[in-house]
Amino acid sequence: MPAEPLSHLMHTLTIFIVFVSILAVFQAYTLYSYTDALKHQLADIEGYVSSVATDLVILATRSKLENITLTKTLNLPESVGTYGYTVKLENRGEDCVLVIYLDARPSVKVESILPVKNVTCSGVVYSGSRNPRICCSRVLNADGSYNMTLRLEG
Amino acid sequence: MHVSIEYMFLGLFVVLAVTLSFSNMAMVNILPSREIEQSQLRVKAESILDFILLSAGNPPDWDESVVPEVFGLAPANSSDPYVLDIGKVYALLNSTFQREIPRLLGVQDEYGFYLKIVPLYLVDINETGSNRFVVAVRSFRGFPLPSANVTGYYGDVNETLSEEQIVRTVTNASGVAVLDYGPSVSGDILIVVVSVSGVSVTEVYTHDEGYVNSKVEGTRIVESDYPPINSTISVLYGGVLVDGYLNVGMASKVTLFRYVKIENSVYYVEFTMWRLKD
Repeated sequence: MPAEPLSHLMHTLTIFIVFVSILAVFQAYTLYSYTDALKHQLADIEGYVSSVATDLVILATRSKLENITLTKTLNLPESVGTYGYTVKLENRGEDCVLVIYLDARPSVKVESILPVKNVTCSGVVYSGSRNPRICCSRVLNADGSYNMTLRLEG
Repeated sequence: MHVSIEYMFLGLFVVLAVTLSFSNMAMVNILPSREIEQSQLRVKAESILDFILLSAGNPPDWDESVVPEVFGLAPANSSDPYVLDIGKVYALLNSTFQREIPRLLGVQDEYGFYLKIVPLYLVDINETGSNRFVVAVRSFRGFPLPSANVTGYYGDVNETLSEEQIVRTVTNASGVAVLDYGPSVSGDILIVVVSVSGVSVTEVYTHDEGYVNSKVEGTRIVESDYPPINSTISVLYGGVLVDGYLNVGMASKVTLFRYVKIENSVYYVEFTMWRLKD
């Protein structure tokens, strides 16, 4: 049996370790929650941008004009949390993919495939851009089909 | 020994208090997080459904013989919103084409969906005697529809109908109407148009399958490319139907509704979407 002062010391140390462990778990959980909240905010922006892009494609496909370019100004937040972010349109195979990620933490990102195939997608918009906009161009081919282009500018 | 027990109780109390606080905090975080996910899912579903119903696709005049690059059910040469091309809707019945739809909509492996196009009124026609037809009208939910205007066009293809060949009546309290044509009237096809407050549905009755593809233009019965859609057309991806009801397991889903017009008949569109993975 250790002496009483030594026993107190050991137990205090154990309690201290328990406290530190709990603090570490708490920190990890807070970080996870914060990242989750940031992802939700990015997903909100993704939903908005992809909805605007989809609406432009619908309007362009239904236009009676042979060739048309539609532009819509995007109303994007200045930042997500305290972070700047990037909105990017890119082609992956036949898919048109919208990617949004935090500049300081690129691993925190959301992606969505737009419901259009073989459309030329390009462009990047950064948070804080003065005039972020999305353009949709449709050029009619001789066989009645058309070439569609989606472009982010800002 | 006495000291150890005191410290053990203290440690246990601390762990218990913190665990309780954590679980409460987690609930506070999880509930709004689910709400946000649900509203984001709704935005996505609205966007996809409107894309399906408002876009003509590419090529705009696609049919089931080719898989389009862009999927959409609107007609190629109309800019009226929520009007669908009957040929494109019939293409949904093609199981090979159905498998392509998730890929075309960009939701493959991410979201499940259930698209259902239902005639607004269900019309049953029974021939109960010579030139006598009983028309039973029900809503898409199966309830009898009283006071519905029923117009019967009875004749042959490419025939301009006389007044005797067009009978107008109203359904009774049980949703039933009788179309009684005189003995002088004859024909191969009966086309019934049921209308309530300007919203109408068309049904064709004939003994000859070859005449099913018919429609009325003015007072004339003409051939059409497709018969009227009088049963439910649906596309299901990522879920199962149990006794006609959608089962998507634990996933929370969002259901949207629209009314659309196909060949001047009104249909009810139900679109349910859910996440396939968290």
